[in-house]
Amino acid sequence: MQEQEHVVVTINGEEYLAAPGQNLLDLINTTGKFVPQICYNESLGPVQTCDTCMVMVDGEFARACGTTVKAGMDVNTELEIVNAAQKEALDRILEKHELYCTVCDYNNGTCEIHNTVAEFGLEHQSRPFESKPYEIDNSSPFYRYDPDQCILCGRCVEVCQDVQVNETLLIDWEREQPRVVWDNDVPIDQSSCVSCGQCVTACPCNALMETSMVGEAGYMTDHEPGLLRSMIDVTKQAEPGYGPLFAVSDTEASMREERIEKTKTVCTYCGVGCTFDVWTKDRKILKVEPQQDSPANGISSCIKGKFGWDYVNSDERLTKPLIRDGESFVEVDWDVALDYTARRFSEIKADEGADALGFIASSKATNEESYVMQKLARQVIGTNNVDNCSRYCQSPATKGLFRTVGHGGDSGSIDDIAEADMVITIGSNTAESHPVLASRIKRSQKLFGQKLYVFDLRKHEMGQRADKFFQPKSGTDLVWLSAVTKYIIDQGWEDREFINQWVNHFDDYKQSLEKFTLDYAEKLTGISKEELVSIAEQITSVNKLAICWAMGVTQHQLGSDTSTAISNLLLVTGNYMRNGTGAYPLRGHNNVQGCSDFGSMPNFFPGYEEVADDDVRKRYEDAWDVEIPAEPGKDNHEMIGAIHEGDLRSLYVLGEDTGIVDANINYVTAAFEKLDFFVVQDLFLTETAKYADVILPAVPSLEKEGTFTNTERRIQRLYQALNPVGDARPDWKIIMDLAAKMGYDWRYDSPADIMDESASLAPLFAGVSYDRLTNYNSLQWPVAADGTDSPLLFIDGFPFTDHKAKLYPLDYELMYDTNNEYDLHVNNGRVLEHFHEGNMTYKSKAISTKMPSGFIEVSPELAKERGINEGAEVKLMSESGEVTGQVHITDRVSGRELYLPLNDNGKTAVNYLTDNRVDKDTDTPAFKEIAVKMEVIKKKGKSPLPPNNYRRGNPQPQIGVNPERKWNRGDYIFPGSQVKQNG
Amino acid sequence: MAEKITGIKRLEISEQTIQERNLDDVVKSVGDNKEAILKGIELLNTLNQSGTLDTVNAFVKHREDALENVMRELNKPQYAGVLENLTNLILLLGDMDMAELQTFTDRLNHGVKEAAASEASEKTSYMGLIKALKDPEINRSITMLLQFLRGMGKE
Repeated sequence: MQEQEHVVVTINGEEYLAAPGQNLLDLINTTGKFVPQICYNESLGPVQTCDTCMVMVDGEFARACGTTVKAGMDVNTELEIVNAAQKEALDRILEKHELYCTVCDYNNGTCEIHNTVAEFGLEHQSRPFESKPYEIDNSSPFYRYDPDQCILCGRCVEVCQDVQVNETLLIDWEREQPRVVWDNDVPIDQSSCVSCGQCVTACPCNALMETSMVGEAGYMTDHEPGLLRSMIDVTKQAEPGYGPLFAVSDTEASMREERIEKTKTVCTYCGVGCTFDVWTKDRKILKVEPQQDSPANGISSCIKGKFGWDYVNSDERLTKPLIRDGESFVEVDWDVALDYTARRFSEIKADEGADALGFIASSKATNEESYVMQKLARQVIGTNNVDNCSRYCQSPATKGLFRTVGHGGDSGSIDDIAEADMVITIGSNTAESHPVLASRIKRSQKLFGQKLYVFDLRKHEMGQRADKFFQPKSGTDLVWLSAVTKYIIDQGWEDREFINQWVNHFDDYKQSLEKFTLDYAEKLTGISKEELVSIAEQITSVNKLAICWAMGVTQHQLGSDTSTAISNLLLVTGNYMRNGTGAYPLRGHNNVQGCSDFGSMPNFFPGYEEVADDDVRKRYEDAWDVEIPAEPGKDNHEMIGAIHEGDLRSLYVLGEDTGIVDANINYVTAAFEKLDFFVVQDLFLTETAKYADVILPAVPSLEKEGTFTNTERRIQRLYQALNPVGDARPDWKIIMDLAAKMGYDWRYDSPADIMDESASLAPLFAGVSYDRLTNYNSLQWPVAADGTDSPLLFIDGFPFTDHKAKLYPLDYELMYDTNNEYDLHVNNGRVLEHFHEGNMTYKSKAISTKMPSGFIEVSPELAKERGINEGAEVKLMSESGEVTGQVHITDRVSGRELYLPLNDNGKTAVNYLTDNRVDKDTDTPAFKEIAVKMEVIKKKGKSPLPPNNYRRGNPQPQIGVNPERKWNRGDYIFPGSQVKQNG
Repeated sequence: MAEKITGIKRLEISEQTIQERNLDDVVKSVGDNKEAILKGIELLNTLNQSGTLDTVNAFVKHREDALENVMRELNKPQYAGVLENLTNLILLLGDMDMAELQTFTDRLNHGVKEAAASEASEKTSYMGLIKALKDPEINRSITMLLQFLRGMGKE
């Protein structure tokens, strides 16, 4: 370790070592001395609005949080006059905030005003509370703002402006009574607020609170407003000193722990892997609270993770196993359902062979459930026909990385993306698909000068924020990537030293680039030569480059090759092996990484070890005491084909609405109809389940234990917060029970046992165990047997025999285009508000009021050409099928480009349009390559985007909360000056 | 050839079965908590015999009304003083030096006893008062009272 310089700072006569540039308050907090601090929060840094951290620095009053340590600094935190200044600041806060803790829903032991006043020992209010002339803003269905309780610390503004970087909240310091305002002072619901809830998490008191907490958290808070007011008044009369008030309210707060459970869980809405405590009272979900210790997200969250849990308590949950009986399903007991399933599996295996059965695991379920699903297929049935939905999205990225660097996962952590000098995103609507990760990029760009280059068809939020935004023609990313790489090599700008030491096949690769001239690239991609050169210059001018990509790259016929081209570019420029660099395929679902990691793939055992490898297979055969076929099985896409051909007779789908999310769903559902036996395991009677012979009721993440692996390869534990509904069971238990019916008694007591077995067999997870994953602890694979994990990959080289990466030569051929008849290109992807096919998020009434349905985005140019207006109804027809939907006109799309959110399972479901074309290397459907024609049904109508959608708001960007504007007010006196003046 | 269907025939569990299952749960819980249950019954019995059970029952049923009444009443101006005094009294108790006070009250009690025993009809002349100062007990009392007055008058 490098020797660090230190500066010596004297605090109350004692000397302390501080890091250069350290914040003084930070330093004081490490000494155990108490200085009140209400607006300061480690996750946010100094906000400088509350003035309570007054200290004496070299004889002058200063805010400790606004002071940087200097050598020889003399600090005093204890002088009487310092104490008086701190008290003055606290008094000012208590003028703004009424302490009625016992009847406050925020009285849960974490109110920072309550705790600070108590610790400071303030006994009496010097000046009375003064009510502010504002009503409570209850307009949002998610949270409410009570200006009367707000102390104007501005943490909410800080987090909105500079952490979430949605730039909606600000404090209007100039009005007579300042308050927090949304946009240009509109009700919350009408603003650009994305309901990420981070302002609520950051609020130190009850000014911003989740609606679900109001009247629910306390024993005495659920009363009519009038009665509550009387109780507040009595509380204040009876408890005029703070001591007695706190004695009563602290008792009440600890009583609340009797009935409010706080359980750590992992979010299920994207690959970022946010973790948080979920507060439950019986089955009621009171709130979701991200923690400073949450490894991937800190205090951040998005609308779905923070507020999207209603589906768990939906009346539509399946509570009993169902068996098809003629025209309807019949509820049965577990024994009946499992006996029947076991019998049918055995019969089909006996008649048609093990390979007549197929198994699809879920990227929404846990690692342990992926492991037992592939074990069921391989051990109990004896087939490698097992796959998961990463086939629909992420397999090409994994392929591209395996070809070049040897590990199919993000090179580093989200911190590395934030740390990069330059971030390139390709085909990723990051702000809506991975909101919390996008915020890290937005913050680095806004505050720390990170360069952001965005390549996308659609000018979504990241495109609008980008330093440079490019719209390459659909499916041509490989071309500009290769052309830029070629130009860099031609100019001699490649990282020669890195290539010599760490990269193989440079010459072959260089030769393969010959066709990718700037002219060729300009012609195919539409990006000008000058721009291509400027991209190359920018890339080579920075020290640390990270490239993020998503479905816009992978869901093409050349998805794997384009992913490979990204990795090639990174290798040529030496952007691997260091923090702040690398390849980041942003995983879409909570466990799309883990589901593949833990073996639900037709060619891999857990940890990406080849089924065809005799040694590996022997290891599993010995452990499971069976023979396993050496031939890889069928992937999702091949399974559907094999059903049509009559080779696959039985399918078991776990937690996947294949009949909506696979491409060309008319073809897929036609396959379901041909099956001899079809088992679906899900929470709801999904579109897919409607074709099943047996439906097994499973439970959501909140009702079970297990682990998920996020996009950073980070394995995180979820704990059970609620009991299963009805007779529903966790997926791992259902599979174990089924295996038992078929003669394999696995006897796992809990998912921890499954993880132990997996870790003992797969070297990639050798050191993974539940003991190392308690609470907010996590492990990023590969994990060595001693528990050492790998936040950054490739530190000691690449996982090939000579530890060198490989440049992989590529070719290109334009395989898809629109034509005269099908003249429009349909792009599709996520919206912030909804997840996947919408089975979960549409169950939230609040989210649905913000976005009630799918829609079709049309460019202003095209709308004009076709004579249609907002809300028009149109029919889109591809060669495979048709959808109808309502039009939203926006310049996020341009020209003859349409966009459909994929989160619809009705007549606007995009997969009626998609076809059977796939990535040539991985069979991932080319979801993004659809040409359609449009027929206008109705020229105008009601806009599908409600007036209270955030996209209609007016963000107000600024940096931080602007405390200077507070200090410049005529009525503001610095507390230090005030006490000096008072003598 | 399985076509898409949506109907679900619920497993009809008879009212009686549900009752039985619920009873089973209760019986099990009673068995597990025998001692607590028996004590609980005894407590209920006592409450019932004293009539308290009815009162509590009625009160809980009308708790919102009760709370409202109490709160309305407590919020009247005349109670503001009481509530405030209540707390102030507690604070006052905290400020008092009980050990000293005890010596003082002991002496006060002696005085009261003596006073009660004396013949109240006997008059004390001016000279008698001066003479009385020579009596060590009276002198001690007067000195103490003077000290008290001095202390009380301190700013």
